[in-house]
Amino acid sequence: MLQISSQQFNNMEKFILRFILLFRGIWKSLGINYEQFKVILETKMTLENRKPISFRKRNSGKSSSSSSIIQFVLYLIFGLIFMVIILSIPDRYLAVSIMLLSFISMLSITLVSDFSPILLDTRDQYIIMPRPVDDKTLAISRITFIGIKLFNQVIALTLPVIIYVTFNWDIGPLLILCLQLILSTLIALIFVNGFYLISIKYLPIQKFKDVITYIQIGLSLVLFLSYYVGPNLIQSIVESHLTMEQLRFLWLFPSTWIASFQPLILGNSSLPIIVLSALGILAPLGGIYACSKLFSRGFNAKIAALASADNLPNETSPTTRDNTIKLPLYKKLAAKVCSSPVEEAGFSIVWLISSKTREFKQQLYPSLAYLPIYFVFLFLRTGEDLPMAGKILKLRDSGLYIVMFYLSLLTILTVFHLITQSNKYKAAWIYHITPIQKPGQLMTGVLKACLIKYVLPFNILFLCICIPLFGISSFNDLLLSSAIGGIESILVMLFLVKNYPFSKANQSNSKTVSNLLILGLLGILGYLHKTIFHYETLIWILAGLGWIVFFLMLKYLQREDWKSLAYDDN
Amino acid sequence: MESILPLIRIVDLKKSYGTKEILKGINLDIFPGQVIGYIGPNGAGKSTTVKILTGLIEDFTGTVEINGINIQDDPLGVKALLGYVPENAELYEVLTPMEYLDFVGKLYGMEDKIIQERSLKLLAAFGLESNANNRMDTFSKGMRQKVLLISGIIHNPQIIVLDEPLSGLDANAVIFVKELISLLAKEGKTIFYCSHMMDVVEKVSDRILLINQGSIIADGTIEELKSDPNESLEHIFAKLTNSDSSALDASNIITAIQ
Repeated sequence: MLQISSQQFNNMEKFILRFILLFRGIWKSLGINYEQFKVILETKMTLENRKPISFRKRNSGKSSSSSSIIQFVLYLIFGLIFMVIILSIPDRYLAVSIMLLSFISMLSITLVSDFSPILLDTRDQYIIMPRPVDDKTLAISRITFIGIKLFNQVIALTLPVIIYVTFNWDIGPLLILCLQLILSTLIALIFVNGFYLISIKYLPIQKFKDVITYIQIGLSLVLFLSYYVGPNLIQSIVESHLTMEQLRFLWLFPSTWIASFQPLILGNSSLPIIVLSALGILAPLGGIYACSKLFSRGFNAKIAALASADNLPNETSPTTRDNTIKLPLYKKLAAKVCSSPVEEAGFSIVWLISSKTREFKQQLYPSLAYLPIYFVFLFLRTGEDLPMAGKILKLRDSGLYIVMFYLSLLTILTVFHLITQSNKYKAAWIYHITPIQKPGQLMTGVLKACLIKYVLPFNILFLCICIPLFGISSFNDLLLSSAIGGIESILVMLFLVKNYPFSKANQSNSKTVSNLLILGLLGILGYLHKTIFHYETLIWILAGLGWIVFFLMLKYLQREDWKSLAYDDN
Repeated sequence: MESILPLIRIVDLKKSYGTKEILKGINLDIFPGQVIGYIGPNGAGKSTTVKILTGLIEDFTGTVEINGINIQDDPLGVKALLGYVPENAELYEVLTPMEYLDFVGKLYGMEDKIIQERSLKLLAAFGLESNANNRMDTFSKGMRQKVLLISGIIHNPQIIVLDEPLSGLDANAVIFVKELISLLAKEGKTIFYCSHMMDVVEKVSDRILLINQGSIIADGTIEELKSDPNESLEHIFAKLTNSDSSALDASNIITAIQ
């Protein structure tokens, strides 16, 4: 009882829902079944509230009971950042323009990543559609549900700004700001709507879902990037007293059009401001018209088709016969680097499933993509006042670039953590009924696939960047760090990987201590490497030794019988 | 019959989970070319027997020998002789049938070329030729089941253990698989067929084993088990396994919803 009541009241959305449900008469007069409407909304809200919070944990199987409230707090933090923009940039036009730009971008991206699952939710079709619920009730329930989520999100994002402005601005600009926020929300909705309409029109279902995945990955990158770059950017705008006049490229964005109301109400009625303000009014209206009249025909039907399209059989592919002649890349690689069929099996399963599984990409790619950002960041931060040539010289002389090599080795931890997990883990029964003589062989195949797919490309990239920038002498550094990476991956495999690939349910990482140890160890190794990197011969010798140790350990790994992989009879 | 050595020999097989005894001493000899219909109510010990036979469960008492190999001494040797398709088995459905079969074949240690050839031929024989290079996440349940069946026979095993192999298959595919089973038996393969679909078991098996509460309570051809010629396997099953206390009475449900 206590649990129910605490869940009932623990978040904003429930309040909004209760408020909406007060207007029983209105809903009934709209011709919908109020009881069904109520129960659908309440159930959806409960489901939403128990959904794991981030996509990192989305497949962990654990449910949370307060994800909505956590999400609200997260958005509130972003709202605080928007507030900082308003209070720190002196030119109000510029401040509002940048704030609205951030607001619209943030809202559009979260709308796509958060609402796509709601829109593509196929459960309605199996659970609600077969019951006697009329279309209108279902449609309005869905729209209302999305509306509540959106309202909640907008409130969280704008609350700090509105509070600040209430105390610091006059009533006129305050009201205008509220109008501007509403128009910006509309613009974000139009963007998202347009995105859906266009994607659905031109992309096949599988691609469409992939695109959403990439947008989610992009979202985490944008957040990461803005965390690093945002404060610097605002600081430099504030310090150099920039105004709108100097940043005319901002005129291209609808956020600036809408922001133009502020100078207008403050008495600036120059031609550009008037034109931009007019655009600010016309753009949302035109967008709504376009979305509702031009594009939306058959939208619902397409969404419904989309939700069920997963089960449609593919059209036949004409290339069946080619398979015997033309070997795919992974098979050629497997044949080159693997010594037995079992090893090839390990190699190909990791190679294929990691390329084809959306959840795997969702979890891995953000952590891979941080690397280039770190790299740029390291580059920007080294000798900040120096010209380009000076920076490069400083990086080369300090050996700081070596830090990057070791940072890239961290991906091994993430990759190995992810490759044992899958939400199709039950398919791993096959390992236990087949006569695998030496599980070590299978696992070396797995290891080789991971190294070739996720470590080698970075090393090649570094090679391409570092040799031109820092000279041929960086080559042995890369050789040494990659040998250490190889040894690290074998050790991680031996001591931390206790399951066959993709054979256990997703769960959040519980190996924090060992991960920290490895992190520390890599840090120490990287530091040692950096202190001796001037002794070229020593580095060559160490690199050679490192590679010999790596190959010896690989042989050992092949013979390992992996007792931990035994069948668990549950 | 006595002169041929049994392919599968089970002597006094017992298995307990904690204090609960699942298998209470099973004795069986199974000969090459036999199609065994293995039936029993839920929780009778069917899947435990299958898991022991396929080498998934290794801690049991008693002896299980397959082709003269003691399964506890050499589980891998036994696994190489077996093909197994578990009930409701999952597969990596983001792969294509060719990729999946390649993977499974290699786990059996087969060479690339042989896997390719057999996969294509088998897929064609099961009517999946045109889907050989499409991802299985777009497949119907029946298509996936066919791929699973292929993965169970691709290494040309001596013994094939099928657990509800017809689930999800349409009527034509069911006829096809039934035919396949009898052809495989003619080839000298031993089929161990577990199912709740009594009419199919009755038709495909030449020997029926009925397990209840951890013991084999009936063993023979369908004719031997019938006490009168009009009796179906379903009736025999109900008669032998329904103890009065746990009997389900459908009329209670009607009373409940009235």
